[in-house]
Amino acid sequence: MNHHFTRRASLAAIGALVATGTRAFAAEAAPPVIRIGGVGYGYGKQFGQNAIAVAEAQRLVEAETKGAVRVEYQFFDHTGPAINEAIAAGQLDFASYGALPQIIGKANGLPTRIIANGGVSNIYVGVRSGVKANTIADLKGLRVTLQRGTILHQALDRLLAEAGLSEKDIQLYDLPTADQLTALTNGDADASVGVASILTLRDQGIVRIIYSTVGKTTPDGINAVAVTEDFSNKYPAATGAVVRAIVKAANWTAQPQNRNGVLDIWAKSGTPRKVLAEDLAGPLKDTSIPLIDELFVAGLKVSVDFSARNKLIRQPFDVDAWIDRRYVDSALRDLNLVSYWQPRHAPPSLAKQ
Amino acid sequence: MIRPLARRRIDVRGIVVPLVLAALWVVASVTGHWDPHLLVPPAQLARGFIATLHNADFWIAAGSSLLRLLTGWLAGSVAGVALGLVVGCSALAEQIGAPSLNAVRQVALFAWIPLLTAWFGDGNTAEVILIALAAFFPAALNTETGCRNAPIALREVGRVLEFGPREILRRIIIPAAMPSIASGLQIALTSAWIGTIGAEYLIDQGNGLGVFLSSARMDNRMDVVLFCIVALGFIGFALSTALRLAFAAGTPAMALAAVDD
Amino acid sequence: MIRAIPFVDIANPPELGRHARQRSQAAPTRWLAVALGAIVPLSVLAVWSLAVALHAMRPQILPSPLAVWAAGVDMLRSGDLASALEVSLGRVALGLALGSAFGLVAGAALGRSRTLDAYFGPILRAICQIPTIAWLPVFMLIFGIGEELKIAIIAKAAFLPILLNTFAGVRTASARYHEVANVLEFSPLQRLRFVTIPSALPMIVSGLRLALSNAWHVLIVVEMLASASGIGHVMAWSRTLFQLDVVFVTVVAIGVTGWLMDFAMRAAERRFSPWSASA
Repeated sequence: MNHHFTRRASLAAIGALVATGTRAFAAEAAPPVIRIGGVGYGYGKQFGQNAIAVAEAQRLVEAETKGAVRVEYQFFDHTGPAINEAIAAGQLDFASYGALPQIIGKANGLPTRIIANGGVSNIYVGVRSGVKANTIADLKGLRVTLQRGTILHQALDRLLAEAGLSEKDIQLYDLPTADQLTALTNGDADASVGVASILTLRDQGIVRIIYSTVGKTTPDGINAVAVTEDFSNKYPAATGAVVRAIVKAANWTAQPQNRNGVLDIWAKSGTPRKVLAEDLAGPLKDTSIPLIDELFVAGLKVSVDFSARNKLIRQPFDVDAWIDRRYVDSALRDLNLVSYWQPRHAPPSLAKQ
Repeated sequence: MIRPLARRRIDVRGIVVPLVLAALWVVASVTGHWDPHLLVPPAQLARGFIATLHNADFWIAAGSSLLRLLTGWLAGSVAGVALGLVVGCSALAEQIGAPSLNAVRQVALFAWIPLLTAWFGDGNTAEVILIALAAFFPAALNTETGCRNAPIALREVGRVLEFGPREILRRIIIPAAMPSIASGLQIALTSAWIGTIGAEYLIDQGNGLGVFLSSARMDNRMDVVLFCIVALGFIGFALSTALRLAFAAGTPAMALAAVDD
Repeated sequence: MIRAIPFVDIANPPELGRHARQRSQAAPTRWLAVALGAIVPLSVLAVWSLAVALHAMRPQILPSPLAVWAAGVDMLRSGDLASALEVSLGRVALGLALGSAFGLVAGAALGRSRTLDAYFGPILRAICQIPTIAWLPVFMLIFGIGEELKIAIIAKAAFLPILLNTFAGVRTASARYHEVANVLEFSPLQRLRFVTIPSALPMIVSGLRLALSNAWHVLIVVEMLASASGIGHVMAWSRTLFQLDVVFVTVVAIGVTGWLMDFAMRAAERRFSPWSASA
């Protein structure tokens, strides 16, 4: 390195150090703003229920970038299309949302990379009170509502297959959440597959829960954190900073003594705290895992396969090429958390992928 | 369609049917005859109404919707009137623009939402554009009709007095077209209000009465839903009445002002 | 009293520009008119292709004209488009029939009887104020989520214009005709057949045209929200699947269908009311 370059490099490096607060990538400029999106709930202003929400509440990304970069969060009421569109319109740099919408986006050419596990969403199957059904096999012939093209749809598919049934054995109604409520309330539907919001229905006496993934290790309910290729190419250090913030948030969430704090943050979204507490009855460590492990990758592949089979995407694509695990791995190393989470293995039925 | 404020005796008979329906409602919910989720018992309904009135979120949502409405309506109306004037006064412009405008007008308003959200994101921008679109067509169409119907005799007068094209526009055509334009603006306001609620309900991001309504549904709060519906109707009625009154009061003045300078 | 829609249907005025063509002395030749009319669409196509070539927006949200064309041809060939439209049009037809029937009866009744109008007028006017889509949640609770919901809400959308226009048409039936009917001592049924209906017909047809337009608009919304079939559903679903070329195709299909229906209604208007100002 000649002298001239070294001086410029040091100035740039100091700037980068201030901006990213990590080992300086020579001459990387700081991004003007970091825009992070996630799935949200609530009236009017949306709040999140995941590691991103914790990161926002505790301003972790700002800490990682030493406050030199403005960070904007946006929580979307309707995951999937809204977030894909925001990314396509160049309004988001990072997004944490469900695997299926991400796969639909990627298959249509959205230039994203998966850089972390977005945590696991618990899935419930509720049956209208008065309907005789206690197991998945009992769903045969019933009218089931859910949102097609989501991780819920995929979960039901797998559950039906395990019970020896297929989608043809039930009547599937594709409805948004609010209309599912209506349909269940006035008897137009017999069962529904959903996330924690179903628990509110159970508390109102409208449904009985006959299945839940709480405490189980399944390839369902996968969420992922993605970054646009543009952003990660231009600002690898900033990308690393964001991933570190997410890992920190996940770590904080996982600790039992922080449980109430976590619920406080997530309850801002309007979901009753009691429901959240029940949904997350298991160790939060398991549901907020940021690791890209075998189960995660296998689950993604199952999702791609499911999407192709159900004509949600025109053709499958290579999941391994989509994932970039460098950021998570280096974040875990930097924060000394390498052995904090156990990598989960894929069950044999999936491992053959 | 501008009517002067006529003195009307309030016809009491109009109250009878609503009262009868209300009575039936009370009876049905008391005897438990109907689904309590739809036919919310009047007491709970009243409580829900009052609670929502006290809910700051509701007023914020209403204010947000109104702001959006006004922005979109103004933008759409101005564009619509401008285009209507051009197409209405120039045969050439009409030949060029009319077919395309008619074609675009055929697309159901809310069918634009997927495209708008894809281009502008799921937020305020897409909603305001949709509202402007809703206001645009009635404004443009009625302005054009008004211009076309400006009596030829008046235009002759303009030619005799050797008015330039701009003067003809300002002093003859616009005042003559005013009733139609005013009517168009009123219809545009109604369309814009429907567009506002629809856009908010369908896009479901941010603040607004449509979003408030949608959230109430998700929480299965039928009382809040019914309140929202009533509020929507009321606001729509208030808006169109206000505009009608403004025009009724303003039109003679506007015409006078146009002549006076 | 219900405020009547004036004789000239301002709310859904005739096609833009027709007045000019009728009045214009030196009307351009037919194909010059076509050429002029094509300027705007061609320019839009040009700008669109340029934007795509310059990568102004990502191809996911701005597909190229060719991609849209290919998707359209694909959908036509596979019959998807046809079956979706068939479902949608079927719903419109049924809902329109239902809404018109109720609207005609109610409009005629209120038009003929001032007493009935005094009792029912105000509450109907109040219901007018609430946009049809706002009724969707309520209708869903009453009718469920099946076909009944779609038919019901389309019927509601069609009901109002027909009611108002029938009312106005019946009211404005010239007093002179009624005098003639009195002289000829018509029975109420004869009066209905020979005086009321013929003189109200132009306005009723106008109302039908507006009702059809309303019905089509409402159908699209309902199909976007609560349906698993129909052209509105295809549009919303392709948006979920992030296939914007298909969305474009459906938007065009919705526009073309709307235009065709309106064209047919305008022809009907002309046939039934050769003397009306809206022809």
